[in-house]
Amino acid sequence: MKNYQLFFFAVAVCLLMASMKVSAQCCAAGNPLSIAPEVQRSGKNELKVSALYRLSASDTYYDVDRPIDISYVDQSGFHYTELGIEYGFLEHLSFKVELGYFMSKFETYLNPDFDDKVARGLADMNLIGRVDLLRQPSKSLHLSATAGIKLPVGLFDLTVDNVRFPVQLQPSSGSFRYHGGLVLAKGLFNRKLTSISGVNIEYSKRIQSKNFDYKYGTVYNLFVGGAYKLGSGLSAILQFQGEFRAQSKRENEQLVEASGGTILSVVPQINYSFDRGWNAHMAFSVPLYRHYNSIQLGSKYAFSLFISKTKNLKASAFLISDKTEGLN
Amino acid sequence: MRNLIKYPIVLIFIGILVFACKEKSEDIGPVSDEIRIISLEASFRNIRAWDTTSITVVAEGENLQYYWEANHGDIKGSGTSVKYAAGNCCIGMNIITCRVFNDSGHVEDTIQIRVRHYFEGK
Repeated sequence: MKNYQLFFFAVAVCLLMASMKVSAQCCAAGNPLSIAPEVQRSGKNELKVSALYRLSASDTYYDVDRPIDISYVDQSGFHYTELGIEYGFLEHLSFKVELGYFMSKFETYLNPDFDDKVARGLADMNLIGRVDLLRQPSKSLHLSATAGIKLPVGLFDLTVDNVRFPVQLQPSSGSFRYHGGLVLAKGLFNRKLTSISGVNIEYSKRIQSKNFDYKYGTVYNLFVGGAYKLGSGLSAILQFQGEFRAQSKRENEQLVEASGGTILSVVPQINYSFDRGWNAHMAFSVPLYRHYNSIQLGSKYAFSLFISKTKNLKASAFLISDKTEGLN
Repeated sequence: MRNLIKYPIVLIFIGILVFACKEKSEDIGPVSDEIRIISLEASFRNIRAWDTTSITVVAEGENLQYYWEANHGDIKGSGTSVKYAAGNCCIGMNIITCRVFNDSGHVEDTIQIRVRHYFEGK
């Protein structure tokens, strides 16, 4: 089987698994956290345009770490898309902007008297600066840092039929979020295997709209894994991820009892680079261990498909210039 | 070519920052003296997490419409009577606001519902 056939076969299998029972990562306002970190950033003068689709599903309440039968939400989840543009301004510095859109963010209920709720709309804009702290090609060592801010440019205080949706169904986060991270990649065994590890932290400012007064807890995300080259352009990645979320706060600094916790997940991924600058990346995240504070609707799985095209603008300019000179 | 890309992107970012930082205010119109809320009542004012209470408003006025919001928890339904429920995420005293409005303006009232822990019993 050719590489691209293998990649699209894997995509089809994951989509099939996802469609068998859609239920979603529960649930917070604004852009969801990434389940697969981007290791490769744009080099100098390179422009990368990307599109992301993410599906997340939940259908089970957990009391700390064990399922509990609560007849309320049947299914909760989202279908999320994101457009990204990244440009390498300097040899070691690139800048990226991402704009998210929820095609649907939904809750269905077991109680037949309750209508399903579906929110759609623009989410947050994420501005990210990425810089190489260490790059040693001879040792296949690469350490990069990211820092960014999520701007609540999207839809918040969404109202349908004159009823305001709850905060967890709002497409935009309604407040600024600051994030930063480190990613370390090290080639091993003649670069056949690359180990990837890193950390991300996201801090949310307080949401203070007319209706909501809420502050999400800070999220710490640790990941470690390895990417194995299967063939030309095709890599398989196995990553383990730990998400540690502090408790949220509501008005008067009251801690929200049922918020925050720890989720350890396994995230198998497949990456395919093809046709000069095209890249497709697919990830599937399944929790292995969870420990919530109090009773919460727990994530069942998440899936993402990321496609990007990178182009070196300077090389293109030279090409145009050469052609123009040729015409003259 | 590079600058043609770079500068518009920088300008767009600045524009977005300014837009995002701008305070967004909701225009709900003037307070009306042609509308009067007679009552705003709940079937239960103290509920266990994920249980439901019905909230009903009675108001006087012409061509009235009803708007509902909760600072924590979910509101189901619309019109003069809705249902409210909230999980363990929303333990404590929560405020449900009902705004009654028509072409002349609006009036609003609130009701407080206490949500108890799921294991505190019915």
